[in-house]
Amino acid sequence: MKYDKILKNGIFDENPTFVQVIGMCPVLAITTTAVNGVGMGLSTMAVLVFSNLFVSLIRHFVPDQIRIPAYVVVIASFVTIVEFLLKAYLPALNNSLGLFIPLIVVNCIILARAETFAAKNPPVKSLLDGIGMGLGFTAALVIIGAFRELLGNGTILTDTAFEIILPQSFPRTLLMILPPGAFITLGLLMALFNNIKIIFAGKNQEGA
Amino acid sequence: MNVFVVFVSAVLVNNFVLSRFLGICPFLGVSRKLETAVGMGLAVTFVMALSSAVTYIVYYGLLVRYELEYLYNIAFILIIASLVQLVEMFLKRSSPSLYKALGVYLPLITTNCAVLGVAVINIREEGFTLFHAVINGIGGAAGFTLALILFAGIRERIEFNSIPKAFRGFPIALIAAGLMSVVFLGFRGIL
Amino acid sequence: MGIVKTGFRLFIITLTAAAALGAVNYITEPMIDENVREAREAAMEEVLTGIDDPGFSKEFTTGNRYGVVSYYIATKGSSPNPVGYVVYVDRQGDQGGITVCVGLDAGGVILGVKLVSHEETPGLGANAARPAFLSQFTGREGPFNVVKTRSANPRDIVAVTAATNTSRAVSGAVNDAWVFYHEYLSWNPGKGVGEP
Repeated sequence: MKYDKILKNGIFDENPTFVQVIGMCPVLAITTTAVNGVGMGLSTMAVLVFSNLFVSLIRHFVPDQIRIPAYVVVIASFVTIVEFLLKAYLPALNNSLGLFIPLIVVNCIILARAETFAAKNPPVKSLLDGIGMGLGFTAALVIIGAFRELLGNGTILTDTAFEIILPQSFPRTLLMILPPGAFITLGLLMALFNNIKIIFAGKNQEGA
Repeated sequence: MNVFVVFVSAVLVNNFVLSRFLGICPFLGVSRKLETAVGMGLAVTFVMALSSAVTYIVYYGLLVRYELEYLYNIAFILIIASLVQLVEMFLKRSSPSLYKALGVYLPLITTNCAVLGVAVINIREEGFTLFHAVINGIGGAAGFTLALILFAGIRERIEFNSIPKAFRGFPIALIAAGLMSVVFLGFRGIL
Repeated sequence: MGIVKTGFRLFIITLTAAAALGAVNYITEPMIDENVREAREAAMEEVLTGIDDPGFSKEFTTGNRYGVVSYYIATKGSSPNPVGYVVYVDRQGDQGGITVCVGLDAGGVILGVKLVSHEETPGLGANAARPAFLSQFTGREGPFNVVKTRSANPRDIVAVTAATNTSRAVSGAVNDAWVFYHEYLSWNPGKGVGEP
């Protein structure tokens, strides 16, 4: 596979959230704001990139029988490092992501990429795969977070320099930032993407 | 803290799946049939009760005592993975029929974030004793099982409905889960 | 590959990981402690509105008297007389534990309230951490009562929309601090619990 294709693969063709539907816990839990989405997405991406790189580097050293525990140790180490760095440099973000930072360990995306990609590919490709998947995941989190924040709270990018607050006349639907809003927003977004796919498929057929 | 409050909170008020978003993958993945949902629920309850106790003991007995708290995440995930393995081997020998029923779900439990989640919650909540931790584990698992079984029942019915093409599969399941979550919001007033 | 060799390789990976984590922990631990301490100090100065540059006593723990966890005595300049108190209260919120930091002047008037930590729902209960809600306590005396619509009573606090439970928890915590002031601090000005 070409390098640019590996990148594109993670973002679009095999987007972990919208196409593969794996690693859904943080997608639903922390997407109450777009900023949380960026924080969680980038934290997960950091773990994904480094674990992919290291799993690829040690892929000949690790015998097959112990590969899962070995990968889990590598992943858990990077998660802990990310957790400490967040606590030290971005304590506010760490507080709002809370429990879901240590839980990156059990995010299926990371173990799945280690198993299916990094264990079989050289380091540079694995690194790119991590970046692609990480970007795809981050994009999904930001899109969902932005929708929920906008509809539920009437703001975009709150608590940042780019904060936009919609006028009071804009109706705020509190449900969107409550837990049900997470399920419903994701369901509607997936239906939307399915619909786009169906329309495109129809066009292609007409053209052919 | 009242143990009963911990239990009710874990099952209903802060339901692990519908309010805390723990264990979403198996919730969406193995909820197509009622039968498999029951099996998965039982297996998770078993492992979660056990792992809550073991991780709590290891954290306070070993990691805190030797000032190695920073290894908690590695320690917990290895404990959970080994426990799952042990439970699998034990069931295989002692109760082949139970193993047959639960066997396929056991390996999936390692990456169920409800199991690691409850272990981390137990050490983060102040004033939690070992007893609280185990009750929280059992309550969380009971909440997971409850949500899973209810959801499986709903999905079996959805299968028979005519649904717009774009909503088939995950989208309609997610919206159904959202409506269930609305129902569970109602429990917030009881504590 | 033999089981010994396999086990040995896993052991090496685990050992390397543990060593790396130890190193990262060694670097970040003092910074994390510093962050916690700084956040605490900033909160303490913030809740003592109107008192510039206060000095603080050491932390006095109360053994959970009146629900209060610990408190600090604020002084000004070299005078040993207390100008105010900062009281930390833990309570059960709507979603989990909350920690509230309450500043009182030497006469028991609330100077400021800050929600130091909480797990409330973003957009709902979490709005109780905003000044719009918390500033209602400033300059008033308890016991406070949570109401849903604005009233003329100075002891009434208007709840955050759709988050009455969280509002009650915060108001209850401020009441705890206020009761602690009247039952203990006002009788023992400038003293720690157990001090002569």
